[in-house]
Amino acid sequence: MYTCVMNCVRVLLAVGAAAALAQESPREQQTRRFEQNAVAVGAPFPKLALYDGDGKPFHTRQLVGSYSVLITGCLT
Amino acid sequence: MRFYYLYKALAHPELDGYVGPVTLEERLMHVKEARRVIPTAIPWLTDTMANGLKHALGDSPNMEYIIDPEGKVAERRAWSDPDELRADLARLAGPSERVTQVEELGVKLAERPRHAPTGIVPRLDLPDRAQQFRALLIEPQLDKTNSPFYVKLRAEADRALLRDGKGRLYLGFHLDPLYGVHWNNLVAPVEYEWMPTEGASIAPAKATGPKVAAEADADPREFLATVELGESRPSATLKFRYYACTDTFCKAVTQEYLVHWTPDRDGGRTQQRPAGGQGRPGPGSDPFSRFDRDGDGKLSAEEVPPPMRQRFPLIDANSDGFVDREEMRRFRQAGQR
Repeated sequence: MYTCVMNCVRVLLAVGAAAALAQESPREQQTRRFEQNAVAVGAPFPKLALYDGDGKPFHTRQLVGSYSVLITGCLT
Repeated sequence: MRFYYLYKALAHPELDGYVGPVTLEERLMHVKEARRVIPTAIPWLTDTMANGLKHALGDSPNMEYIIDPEGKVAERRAWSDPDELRADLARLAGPSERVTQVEELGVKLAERPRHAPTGIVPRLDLPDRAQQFRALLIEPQLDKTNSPFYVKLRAEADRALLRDGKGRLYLGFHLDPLYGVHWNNLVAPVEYEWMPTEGASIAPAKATGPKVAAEADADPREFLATVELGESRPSATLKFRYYACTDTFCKAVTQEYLVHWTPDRDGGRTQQRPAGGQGRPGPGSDPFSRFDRDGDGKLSAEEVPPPMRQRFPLIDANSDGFVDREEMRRFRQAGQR
């Protein structure tokens, strides 16, 4: 009996979670994914090769030495 | 303290006619265009075409990271917020002796490019597209062409196709405004053709775009197909023929794409079109109207481009969460003084 009740509770929780996810706006989805995948505070910033705005090589190592703020964006 | 914008994949392809670049050179053209339309003293960095840093940071379109002098993440958030950023920086590095005001920035938004009339060819009537369709991963076959991709393919699958292998496929061929081209309707219309692929049935396998009375236009050429995939879900090759024309040249181009039946995590999300079915503004529309996608006469933070979003709370003088025309006018006037 106890097992049956617990299974029912699990099913209800799963259904509730699925319903909550289904009601997420795109912005909420992206925020949730960000929280799952973002680099943690205190962790090293990723070491990756990029380009500057003129196409010259730039490496995230160049961000070391002072506080840097990086904001992602695009034309749209 | 240093500030950077990182240019990455488009968040909302088709907005203002902009479409995703297919080469690094084209992405750098986007950066140049971003500098033109949204002048800022903050330098742009450019992510690789694989969007490596975007993925590593958490994949949100308007993320904000503060990196400390040792190269560690001091703070981060999914959506950039200028007030919170300022508070973070004051906490981490100490308060600023002098706070720059918006009026000092002198921001003047420039017009988006328009090379031919729009609103001539009706858009495909898919009112649920933004919710029901997802961008597919596509590979432009760069080594099989001698021309730039003047036209960019946007391929989207509905949920049934992605889930069951049987459903609807949206194909949109969009002129890239950064090449200044338009459709020349005095020559043969565009044509696509799927190469035979075992395990993939696509109908129609071949189609031709509409004949248009106007000599030239810049509306996308859109098609809807039905697809049935076998177990192996083989990628399929799509060939597209068109004329790329400006006022000074017009040449026949044939280009190919390899279409994969998997979602593109960098494909962005198209905005729901306003009533009337036109995705782009009419002649003479102002920046406010361009941004006001739901047509309610006021702008939310989500409707404005990211660099402007940074300053949104400052433009929103009465702090009601929206910017109206008067607030926008005052902001622009301040920038022009």
